[in-house]
Amino acid sequence: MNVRIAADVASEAERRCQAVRRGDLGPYGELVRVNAQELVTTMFPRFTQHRGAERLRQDIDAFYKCFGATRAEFIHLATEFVRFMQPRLPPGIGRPLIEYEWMLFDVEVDKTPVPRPDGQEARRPTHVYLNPTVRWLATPFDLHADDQHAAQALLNHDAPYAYAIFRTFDHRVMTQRLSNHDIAELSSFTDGERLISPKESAHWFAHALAHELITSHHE
Amino acid sequence: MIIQGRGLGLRREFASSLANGPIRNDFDFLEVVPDNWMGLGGESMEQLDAIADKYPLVAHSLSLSIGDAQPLDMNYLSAVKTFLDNYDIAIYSDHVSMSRDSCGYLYELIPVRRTQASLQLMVDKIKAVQDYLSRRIALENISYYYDEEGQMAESEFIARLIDASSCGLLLDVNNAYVNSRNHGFDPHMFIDALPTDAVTYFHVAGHLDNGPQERVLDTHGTDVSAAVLNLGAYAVHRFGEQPIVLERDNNIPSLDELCEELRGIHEAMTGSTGNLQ
Repeated sequence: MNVRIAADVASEAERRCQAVRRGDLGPYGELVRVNAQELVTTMFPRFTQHRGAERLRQDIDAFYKCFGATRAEFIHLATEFVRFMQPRLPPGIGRPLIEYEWMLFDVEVDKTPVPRPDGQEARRPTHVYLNPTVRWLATPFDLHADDQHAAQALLNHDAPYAYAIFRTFDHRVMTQRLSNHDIAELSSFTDGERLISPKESAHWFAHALAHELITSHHE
Repeated sequence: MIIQGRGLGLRREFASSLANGPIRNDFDFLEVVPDNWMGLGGESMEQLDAIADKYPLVAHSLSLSIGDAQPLDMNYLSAVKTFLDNYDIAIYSDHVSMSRDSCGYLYELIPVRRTQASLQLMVDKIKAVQDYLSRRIALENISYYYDEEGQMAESEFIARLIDASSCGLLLDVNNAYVNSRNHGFDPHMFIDALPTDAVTYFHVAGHLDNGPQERVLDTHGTDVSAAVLNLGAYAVHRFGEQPIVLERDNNIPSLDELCEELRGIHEAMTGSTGNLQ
């Protein structure tokens, strides 16, 4: 599906788009930036709050001037913005925050269906699976702490905080902080599944099933 | 599936009630923006699946970037084709614009320089897209806020594009009106210059008008103005009664209010109240 592109058409199209990237071409330079800032602010509210409006405006400006976004759909501007920002953010809480908030979006739109949870009869399951949408995240601070406490945790070199982020059957996106016990139990899964022997305590499994971190159905 | 009558732009704000509520009869079809849905799972997919079971759909994308000077984005086009096929959508449209340069996407409908050379490239690309999608596509006249000397008139460019590529026209009546105000031409003459059999369907929307000294903005954030409705009636007189879609993307009222506005728009443009009760 090749089409021949005349050099003068290519240079003219390039000239107009480069003007937009610089912030020109009538109102278009500003329009794209306003639209991008609105989307980023909506999708990454905590990161936006941490970053501040002026620095975010500069980030968006640099995004247009320096970055080549490959995903066509406007909703994926957010993904492209994260790709742009990741190597540019200094050590601190900004990068974990934007990665976490992007992960919330990624889990929300994951195409894998989440099985319907069982009722009471599943309290003694024999075969369980990880929630198919689950992502793991380790951060150097508590995600629910404010910026000041998060920065202090970084300074103190606190032990990392581990989280599971997943979507429930009824489409709620959950962020579950994982305890050492959770991590130990989860590490016993192989390829996302695990058999439970009748001799094992089912307590942890029942709890994880109730929260839909794991499921007793495979789809 | 024959699309006719009154259509609404599908907004996420209404997705839940449309997916879960009873079938409504105050519109005939929905216009869905594939960019906002394709490739997404979870609640989005579940809702769209339910909506598609109840209502006919047309698709109107934003990122085909048919006017750019890059090879077609086959990843995007493939996703669009899958989307159209999955939901059995016959009518697909995008814009006479570009959204991309050699660096990447800009996420905006940027006006194309209207020359014979750019026209030829667009024709070649439209034909390739139509072959790939196995569908005749329609392209929308955009609202543009930047213009230069030494170009073809927009109406001539679009008319020649349609003639050479056999694509359809999604005539956005509001855009024609907004452009006429911002660039100083008669919108009736713009409509008169387009081929009478070109229109696949109409768009109508509201705009922001802060007076003669200010640029009129295509905001999709207000009710449709009387001037646009009058121009729409003129367009229906020229092109015949084609499906009409009301776009509303900002300051969104309730679905009931939108449907009531759509009823009035259809009546004002066609003289009839629509196909359904």
